[in-house]
Amino acid sequence: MRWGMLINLVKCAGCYGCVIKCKQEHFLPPDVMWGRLLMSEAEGQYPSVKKNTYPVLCNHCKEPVCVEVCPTGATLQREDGIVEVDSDKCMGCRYCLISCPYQVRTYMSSEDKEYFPGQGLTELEEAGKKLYPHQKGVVTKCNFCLERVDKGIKEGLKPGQDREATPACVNICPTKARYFGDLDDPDSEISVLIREKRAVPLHPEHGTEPCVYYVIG
Amino acid sequence: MKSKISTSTKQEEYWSYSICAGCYNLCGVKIKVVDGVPVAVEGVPESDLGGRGGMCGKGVATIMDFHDPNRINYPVKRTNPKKGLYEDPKWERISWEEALETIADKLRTAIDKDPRSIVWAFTPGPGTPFKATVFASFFFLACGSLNQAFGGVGSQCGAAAHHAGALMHAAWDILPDYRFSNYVLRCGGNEGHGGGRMASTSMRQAAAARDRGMRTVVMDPIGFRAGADADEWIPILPATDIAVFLSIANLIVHEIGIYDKEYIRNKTNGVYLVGPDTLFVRDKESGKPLLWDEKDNQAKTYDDPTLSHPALDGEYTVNGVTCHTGFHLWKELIKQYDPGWASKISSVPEERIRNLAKELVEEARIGSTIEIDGKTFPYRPACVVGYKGVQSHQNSFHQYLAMNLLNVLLGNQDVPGGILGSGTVRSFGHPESGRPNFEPFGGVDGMLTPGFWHTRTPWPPHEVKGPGLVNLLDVMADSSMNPYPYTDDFEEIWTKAGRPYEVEVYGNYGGNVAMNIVNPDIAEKFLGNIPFSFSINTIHNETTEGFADIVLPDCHAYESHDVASSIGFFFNYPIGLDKWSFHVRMPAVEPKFERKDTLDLFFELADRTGIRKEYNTFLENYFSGKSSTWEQEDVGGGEPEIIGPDEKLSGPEFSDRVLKFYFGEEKGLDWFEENGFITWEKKPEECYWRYFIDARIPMYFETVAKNKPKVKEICEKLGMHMNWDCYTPLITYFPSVIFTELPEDSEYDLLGVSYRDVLHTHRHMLENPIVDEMSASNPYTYNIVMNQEMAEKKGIEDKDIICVESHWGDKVEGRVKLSLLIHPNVLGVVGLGGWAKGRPIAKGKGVNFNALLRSDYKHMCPVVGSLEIVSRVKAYTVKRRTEK
Repeated sequence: MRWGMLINLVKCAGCYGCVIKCKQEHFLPPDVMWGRLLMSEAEGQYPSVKKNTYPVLCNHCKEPVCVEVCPTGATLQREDGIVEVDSDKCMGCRYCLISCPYQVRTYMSSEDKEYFPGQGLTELEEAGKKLYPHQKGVVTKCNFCLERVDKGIKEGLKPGQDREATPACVNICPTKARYFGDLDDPDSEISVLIREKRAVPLHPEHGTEPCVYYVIG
Repeated sequence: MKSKISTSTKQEEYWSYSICAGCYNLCGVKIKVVDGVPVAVEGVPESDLGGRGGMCGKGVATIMDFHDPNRINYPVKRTNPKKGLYEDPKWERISWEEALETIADKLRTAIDKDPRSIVWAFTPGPGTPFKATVFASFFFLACGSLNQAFGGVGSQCGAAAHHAGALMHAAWDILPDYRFSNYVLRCGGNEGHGGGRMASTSMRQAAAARDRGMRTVVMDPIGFRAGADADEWIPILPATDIAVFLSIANLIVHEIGIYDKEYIRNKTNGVYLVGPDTLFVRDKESGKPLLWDEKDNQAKTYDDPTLSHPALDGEYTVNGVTCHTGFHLWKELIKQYDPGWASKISSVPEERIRNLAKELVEEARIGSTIEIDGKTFPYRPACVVGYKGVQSHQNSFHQYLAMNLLNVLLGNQDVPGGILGSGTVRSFGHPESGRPNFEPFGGVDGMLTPGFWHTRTPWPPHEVKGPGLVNLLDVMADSSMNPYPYTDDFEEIWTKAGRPYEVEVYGNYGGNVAMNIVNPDIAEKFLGNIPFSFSINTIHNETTEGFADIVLPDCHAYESHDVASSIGFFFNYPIGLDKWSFHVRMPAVEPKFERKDTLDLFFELADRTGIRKEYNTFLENYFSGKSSTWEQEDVGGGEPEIIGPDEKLSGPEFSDRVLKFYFGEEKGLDWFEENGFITWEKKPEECYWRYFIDARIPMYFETVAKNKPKVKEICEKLGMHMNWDCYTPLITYFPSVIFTELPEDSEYDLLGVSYRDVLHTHRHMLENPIVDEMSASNPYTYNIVMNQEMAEKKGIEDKDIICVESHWGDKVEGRVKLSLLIHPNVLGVVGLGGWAKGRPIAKGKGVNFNALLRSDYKHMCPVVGSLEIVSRVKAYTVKRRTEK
């Protein structure tokens, strides 16, 4: 069992739905994003220039450097492959943040930032503090919506197929570009699609065996 | 509703169904409410209206709009008597009683004097589109004023696109039939890629099509939007698409020789006979246009039951005059448009134009058929589609119609794989109730006429008269919207017209006219002179702060009842074979403070103004299907089916009545609150209706020729010396004024274009802090995008602050983003920027492109009224931003 994600860039329209939904799902404060949309224009001769738009998130690498470097054991890898941060153990040293070759970790600063600066926290932000509290002064990142995955499995649901057990970014994608499933199961939809569409991870040369794959157009 | 899925014992948690508030495309949504606080929004997986559970980023971000502490909570009045841009209104809270009575008093006085002195505006913007076009419009129409001065998207809205959509498809807009399409040539638009029409619905459909191998070619000055997702990006100079379209038409008709002759013969007026006076040759008795029946070798009316084989071309003598078919005349005309010529104008290589023609013809498979549900349809899996970039120019009538005529040649309109009117314009109704029921029909001269329409009747064009309206739409019979009265020359024109009346009251629903429509300085000229203005908004903006005397607090879409957004096919019925999915906007939570729901507000104002009967009648006619357009003078009485003339209902009661009318007594508001939405299968002959409706579409625009003398006479008297050659019934090449108003070697060597960013709907989303966060991380959104090679020639480097200066001396400043995905002669800017105190997040973000535009008759399409939204500019580095 190893949870993984596939993002079909042929379908992705770069709408930010995944990035914003992730913030909403986890009540992330200003300047903290667990997912991002990276854009660049590749080299080329006008007008045959390709624009790269990569939605990125924690790759939940099979060989995670972040786990290796963490001095307190706060970053750990579960048996199902999900790499998570135990905020109680994290001391905010940020070794993991520096070592992550994909730069998808964020330090949760101790300031209480407001979405409307100087106007106080909104009811939404206040609600978030109760519904999804974040510890300050620790490193934070995408957790593959493990709460949804774990709860769903307990209820007999199948992550990647049943909405309630599937990461929020997968559900929200209006172009259905995202897939979630078990990479260790060769017959899972995600494994089949990775093979059929020749999906590849981002920068495999880092040797961390990322579990997020991309179909490149 | 509130399908209460309580998942926790600690909190009260439920999901509430509504309609998205992110743009005007009305995707069905669910809102999660915990302990009375809306905390999340997502799509509805079982519905085809939207992303089947998915939503685009700006839709997801709407929850943050809801919680904006800057929202308007109470009626306020202006205490600073000075009106103008940048003025502080010095708001003072007042009671609803004072607010409504003051407004009603001003309205009553104006109605007594001259109802036309009430000018009104709205924006079909985020969360408000049909509240605006139905609830708000009907209120002002009930006051007796057709004097709508388009607000919000205004001049940049679809003057040509909606005109052509109505005439060609009986629809508001067009979209490819992604389910079966194999090839799309997309010009100047971003729909299916995050922006524009049908939002998440078309994104979902387009993505699936790309994934199965549909080929997309994007011809656009900008290559970093839809062009980036496409198989190929073809850069083109703005407003020159017309040359490429006409040249492709020439290649298809005269070189390749494969086009859908049967479609032209049976479904267009291209076979109507045209006399030397450029008008149709008509039957002397009935006045109906004549065609030449090749089988019987004689002229017959278009509806003659013995007509079997109308002649496509040739010369005939009928009624004693020599005549030709309209298609014959156009065919001859387009011979001159060779691809070499088009290449010089557009910068698209000649060989590429030739290949585009070949690709379109090959991919359209003219003559092929497809079987769906046991029925056989023509199969045309290729189309040309475009929108703002094609239609928002001074030559837009001819340019946008030239694009449509390519689809006519391919015979792909409203058939599988081709180009469809959006959403779906033919409905047999729900299987149990048979409602909503509408379909297009053959109207005057046998021409396609929409079966349902809001705004003014698109066909036949109204009689040319006036000027009696400040929008001059009474004069411009083929225009449904134009920049008037927000123009440089309005005062002069109004004076020449003898000033039939002065504007006394300006009523605005939603939107931000001063910023969204044209150069703010020009908007100020009109808005600053009106004695009394009121506005209904959820949040203040540059327009309310600058010009409103009273502002009323509207409900956010997620605390609102709105059945208007459910009715009609404009953006809210899923396109193609997607299932019918009928959603209703219902509040997730009750409104706080003194915010009042839109319909309740208008009901109350109607009572106080003394127009309740008229208002109710408009609502009754529209929602019961008696008459959907703005002109309802000829609607007969009859028993009311939804609301009686004097009946007093609340907004929710009205929703309930409408829903029961459509779906039966069992399916009123309670049912929808519980179930959220209703969905049923669409029949293929509903979405692919073209061959099931006996109607023709125009290839020859006779009414334009017919209207020309009178429009010209009136306009010339008003000092509007437009290019009257544009009033030709044959779609012809005309360059936009941007290529003729300055010498070729002018120092203003760049063309500034505005584009829509995936996260921004007009300026509305700019106040949303999450959207702001994303926009700040996007290399394009807040910056001025410039071609890298051009920048090198000018010594401009990436991230420089540059000034963009129009040849009128208007300037905007911003940081430059260099790119190879933009035409060398083009600067690309998202229309943003602002200074309103009531929008602190938006303040100073992005660049206000509109400040570079001029608005006058010289920059307006003489036929349909589109404003030219490209500006000739120069760009140079400055040390820092100095603009206000």
